[in-house]
Amino acid sequence: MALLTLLTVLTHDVMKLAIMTRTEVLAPESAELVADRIRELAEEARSEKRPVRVSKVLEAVREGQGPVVHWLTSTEAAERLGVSRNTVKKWARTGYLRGSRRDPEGWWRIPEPSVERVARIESDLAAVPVTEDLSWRP
Amino acid sequence: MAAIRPPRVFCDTSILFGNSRFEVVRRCGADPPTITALWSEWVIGELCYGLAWKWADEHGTSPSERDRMATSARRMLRVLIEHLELISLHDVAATEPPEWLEDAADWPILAGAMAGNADILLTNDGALLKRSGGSWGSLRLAAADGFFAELDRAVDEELEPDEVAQPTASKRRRRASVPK
Repeated sequence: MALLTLLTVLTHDVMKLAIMTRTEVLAPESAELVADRIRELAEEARSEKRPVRVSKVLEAVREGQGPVVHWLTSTEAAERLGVSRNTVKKWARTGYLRGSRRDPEGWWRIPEPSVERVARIESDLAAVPVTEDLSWRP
Repeated sequence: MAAIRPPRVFCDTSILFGNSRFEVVRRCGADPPTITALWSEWVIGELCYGLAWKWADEHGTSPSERDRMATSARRMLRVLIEHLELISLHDVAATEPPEWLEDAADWPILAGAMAGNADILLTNDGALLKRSGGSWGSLRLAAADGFFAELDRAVDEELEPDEVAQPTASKRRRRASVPK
């Protein structure tokens, strides 16, 4: 039973980690920086006559991938933004929710900072009541 | 493939006063943007005095309401300034409207659109749309709803079929497994 509980907790943590992922692609400039860093590691290792640690190579790649991005599902993003899931999908598709992408299963994943940016824009624009009444115009 | 230049869309004050302000920002704030939105000092001025009058009519002019209005206006302006390109009327402000223009009050808006090399003048001013007959030289005049609907259709057509929400194989399997 204790083992089952432990496995459940671990699975939950793995799922949480899965959405705390970094970007899966590297911009060409970042790839060049990563390559330079790995070359430096190789030169250091050669001069010190020792092998290159794989952890150091992975670290260089992770640095090139940029900061950890917290991805939200379309349902989570819809809740945060107070709009429907269809609206979130439309905004993801048109690029208003920047950096959104679909996972291999076809579900939308939206970067949290992008949701925060859109929430700020929508709230600031709504600070002034909307009117279609143009009678104020001389 | 060469990137398609997003249309340059000059926004009349009526657009930014109404619901269309959201639609404008959602499109020029996208990555990549589907429009380049433009405005001018004239539009900013109209937007602010129109807002002040409207607010005073609805909420009065007490000091607390003035503060509330100013705070709201600043929040909205910050977003619009960040997203819309400013076309200055500095060089055209003193020019007279052409003779063929029936209402001289339309001139600063049209002059802004022309100075900004706009493809489209977006307006919800029915009188201006009617008077212009939908175009002025190479400038097209359009109402917001129709224009945004047209833009959405164009974006949908541009996307690959699998980018438009399609159930994936796993989703289809999941749906098929749901008992009826």
